[in-house]
Amino acid sequence: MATPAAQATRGRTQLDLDHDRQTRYWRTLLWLFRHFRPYRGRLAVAVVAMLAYSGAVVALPWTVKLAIDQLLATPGDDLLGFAASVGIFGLVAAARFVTGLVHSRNMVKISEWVVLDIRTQLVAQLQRLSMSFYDRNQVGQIMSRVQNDVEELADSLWILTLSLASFVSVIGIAAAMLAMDALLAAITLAFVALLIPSLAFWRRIAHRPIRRARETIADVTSSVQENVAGIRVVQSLNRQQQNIRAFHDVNQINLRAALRSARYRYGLWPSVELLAALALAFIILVMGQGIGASLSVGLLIAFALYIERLFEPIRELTGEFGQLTRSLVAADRAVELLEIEPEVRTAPDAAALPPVSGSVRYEHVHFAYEPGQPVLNDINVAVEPGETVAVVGPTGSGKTTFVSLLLRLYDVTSGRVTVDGHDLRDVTLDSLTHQIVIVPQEPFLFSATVRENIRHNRTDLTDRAIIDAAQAVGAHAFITRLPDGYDTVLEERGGNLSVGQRQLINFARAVARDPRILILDEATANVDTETELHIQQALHRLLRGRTSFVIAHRLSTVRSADRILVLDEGRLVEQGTHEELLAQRGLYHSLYTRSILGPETEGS
Amino acid sequence: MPTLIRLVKYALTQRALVIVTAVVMVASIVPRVALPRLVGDAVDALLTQGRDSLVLIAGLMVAAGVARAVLGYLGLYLAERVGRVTEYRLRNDFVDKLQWLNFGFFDRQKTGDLMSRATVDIDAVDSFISTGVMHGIAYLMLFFLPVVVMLSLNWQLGLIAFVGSLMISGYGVSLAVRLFRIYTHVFQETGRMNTALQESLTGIRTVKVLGAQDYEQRRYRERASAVAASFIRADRLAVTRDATLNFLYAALMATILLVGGWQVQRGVITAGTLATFVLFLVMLGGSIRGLEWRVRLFSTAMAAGKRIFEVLDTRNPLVVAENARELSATGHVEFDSVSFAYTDDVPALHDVSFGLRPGQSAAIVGGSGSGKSTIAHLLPRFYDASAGRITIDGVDVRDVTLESLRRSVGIVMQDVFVFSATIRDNIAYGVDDASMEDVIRAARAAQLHDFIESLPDGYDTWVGERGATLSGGQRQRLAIARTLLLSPPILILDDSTSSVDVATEALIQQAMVQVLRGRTSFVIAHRLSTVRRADLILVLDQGRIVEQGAHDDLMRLDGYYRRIHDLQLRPADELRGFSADA
Repeated sequence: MATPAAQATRGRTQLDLDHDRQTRYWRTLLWLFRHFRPYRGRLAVAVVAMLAYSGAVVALPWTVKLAIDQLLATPGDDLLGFAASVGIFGLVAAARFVTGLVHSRNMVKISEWVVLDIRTQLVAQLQRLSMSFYDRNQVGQIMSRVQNDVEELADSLWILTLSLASFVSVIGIAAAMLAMDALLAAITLAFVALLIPSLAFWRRIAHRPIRRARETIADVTSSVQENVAGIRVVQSLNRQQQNIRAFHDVNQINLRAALRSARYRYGLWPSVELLAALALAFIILVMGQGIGASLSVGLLIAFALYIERLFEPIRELTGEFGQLTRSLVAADRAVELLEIEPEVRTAPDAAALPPVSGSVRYEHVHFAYEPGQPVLNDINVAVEPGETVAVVGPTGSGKTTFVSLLLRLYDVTSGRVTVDGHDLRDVTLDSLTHQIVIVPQEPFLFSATVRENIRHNRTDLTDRAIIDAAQAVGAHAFITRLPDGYDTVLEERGGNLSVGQRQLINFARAVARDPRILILDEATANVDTETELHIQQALHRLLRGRTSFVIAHRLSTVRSADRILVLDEGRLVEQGTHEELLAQRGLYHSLYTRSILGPETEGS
Repeated sequence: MPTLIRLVKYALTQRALVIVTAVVMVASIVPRVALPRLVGDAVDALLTQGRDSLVLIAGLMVAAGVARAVLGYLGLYLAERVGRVTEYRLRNDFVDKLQWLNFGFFDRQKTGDLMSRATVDIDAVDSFISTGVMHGIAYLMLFFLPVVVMLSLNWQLGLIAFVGSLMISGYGVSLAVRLFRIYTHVFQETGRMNTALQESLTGIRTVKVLGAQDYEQRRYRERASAVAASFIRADRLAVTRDATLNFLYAALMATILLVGGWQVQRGVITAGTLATFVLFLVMLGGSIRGLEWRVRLFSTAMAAGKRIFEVLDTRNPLVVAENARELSATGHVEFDSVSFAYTDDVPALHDVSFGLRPGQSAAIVGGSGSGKSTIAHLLPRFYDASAGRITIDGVDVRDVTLESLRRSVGIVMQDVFVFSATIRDNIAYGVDDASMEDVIRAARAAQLHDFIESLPDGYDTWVGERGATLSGGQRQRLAIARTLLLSPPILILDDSTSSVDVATEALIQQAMVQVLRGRTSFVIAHRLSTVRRADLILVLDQGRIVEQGAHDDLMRLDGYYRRIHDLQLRPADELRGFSADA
């Protein structure tokens, strides 16, 4: 079903790793500002304090000028007047201290809160995105956005507030200089003005190297991630040397990109330094010519201080501008992630799925992960409440996809899937997952206690219910043998639990949820015979009264199903009971005879 | 400070670059310090009407400006280069080290934690080396050079400025140390938050099918809120300290103005000298703030460095004998009273002994956690036995090179990791120069070829991070193909055919009969139909071999093996009868 719509969807779900993509500065900046909205009261206080602070910063050199001029104007030993003007200097410094504190303490809070908002927003989005997103993007890349990019953003928010203060100071200093001596001020400002074109020029050429450096570091992160997560395979296949070489290459590419980015990032530094020195030299020359009204030593000192204060913020601003550019790039990547529409969406008017009896219908269901590669073709199935349905077929025939649609991990490309007559797309995901539970192929455990792993999000489950569930699947015995029993903290990979034990905990998790519809996806495969016997006994009880779909390997499991669906290359080719299907002598018959008789005749 | 010394040593591997950078850094300070002096001279020239010298002063200023610009840019770039190269080396070493650590290490470490050491911590070291150490040299100069000039101009005023600055920076440093501890704690919290997120993303499928998105999000928000609160506490202290330092500097400036003003009136110093002092004091303030910032970088870098070296220093318990031999095995495997424990107190294997002649096959059966996988992991030395010894062709596995050992022992593990690369590269993962024909042959033997051919890009199809686009069975067969390509004399199949459906398993088993021929093999299988064919069956229970022998012997024994055998096979036997009737 390669519809253009599907194609467009695909474009949206893949994170853009295109290195030449333009950063959308203004949009991103606006987006960033929106996050400050909730804190506008505090922000107002901070801004007022910042204005007062900048005023004090501008006033300080002025008070130095006043003091020195007074000192030189009054010969003899009139130290009192001089001491008084130094006192004014002290007062202004105290004002700077207080206002600076009010400003920065507020900004610290606001920027952390904004970062927190953005973080949680990103994570909420990640939880909302469909499986197809995760099929197409690496966890390492995604983590890099939430981790590195947000940290970049956090840094820059802080810098942004400092830059604002710097900016206001620059304006204030310009005004103060104009008030003191218009000509000298004009000369100084002319040099400042020269900075602006170089700023614009720099901004244009530095953008790409900076972005490139960011991208190559993401590659490094992914590469480390693979080396850590896949280390067991790496070692068993003796790939260490090659991996080391490959990593060194990726790392080297990043090094080069980072150095290139550095060469551009510092590009504006020389012009700022040079212009500051030129401005000061010019002022001295002009003063020497006696041009202009006043020739006061205090004025020269004040200007020297101002020029330092004027070019310093501008230099900082350019350094910070680099940071700001980097962070806007980071923010843009965050926005990009937020803009991805989940493929599986809950309709705005979706209702909660009422408690169902468990009848499931697939009506003309088509599905493709990638446009043009259909995985399921025109599937039509009606399952009655309480029925146990086995799904069989060769690998790649679409069994896992078939049940994934019922869980709404993906949406059908066309046709519909209904539960008790409700189209899955018309009910809320929450209400759906409450009534349909799957035990997936690969058991996944969280780093938490056994108890928390079974309970997980169902905080309404009592400890009793958890233990009952564990007992029902035969996991209770080994859990109580663990060092801390149900409170044993499991490690990321399940620690020293065997795959079978991890699977049992997954079973307990499903059982504790008491779902109306249960899906077992090749779930018994990793459990040894004895454990499976436990489970099968439990399942027999468990499946009773529930609609269930079992993707099973063992024909003994398949045989006891009420109905067997045989899938082949995405089509439902046969369905019926074991006996019916054998009599048909079709695909099922051939699967069955090959698997049971093949190895046996070979062996004996 | 062993961490500091080691970090500096890392930077010093590029000695020439470091020296050049340091020289440039120091040199770039000289024109900066010259500027206040020149302003002072200008003031005096203006007051004494010595206007001719003003042209010279202005000229010198321009020259100083040019020098400052060029050297400044160069210094910034070179310092960044030193840091980046250090980062590059450190990261290479880090990843190199990971490649050789044994499984025990990875059992204990979380992926997210290792990731944060490899990324965030190494970044912190980078900024410490470049912005911290290299810029630190410049800031030290920026402090001491003005002090020297001031003392030479007027020792009383110079002393006030020097002592005052030292006292202020002493106060600043003491607070910086406190901040260090606080920030360390904050970064730890951040690490925990990221680990949790990484986990919920890796397990996103489980999160989704449990409908736990909101729950995961809430938990993340709680952690992130805690992190934000800690950051606010730490940052608040930091900004308060900065403001206080600024204020103290202003107080010092007032003192200099008062004393200096008095000296000017007494004619001890010129107004130009006072101007120079005022400008120098601003400079000192800047340099102290700069040095403070270095202290902060230092603190985080030490914590980060400690975490990095912790990994680099991990002693790999897998010691390869110095005169290790190359193993070219025929496949004679012997376990001699082997015991093993993952952690000290819980034995996983106890006194396991058995032998296998070349070409023989062993099947390992037993309940969950009985030690089946452990046996499989000891042979290629993913762990070392804690007692007893394992020999291949009579040679202790600890006496041969790891590389030749693992070339001789192929293993298909329970957990199949698919690298993000093409299918072809994934199959050829263990072999350097595998030809396309070899890859296809291995894929065919693993019954994967037809599936691969059905993909639009065939063998060039890209498979995702955790092999998301491959089903469990396909991944399993990929792992088998991978191992087959190595063609090892000894082959271990750990649960390898378990998540493959019946049809595929039958195909694989047919292939395996071919593949296993002529190899010594271990099969950890759940299906007793596979087990039956084995030359030796090892029945494990809680880390001990409770029964061993051929199928018929064990059946006659009428023990544990017989019991599980009956459980498993009865239905199939019935079916066979049924099927024959039909």
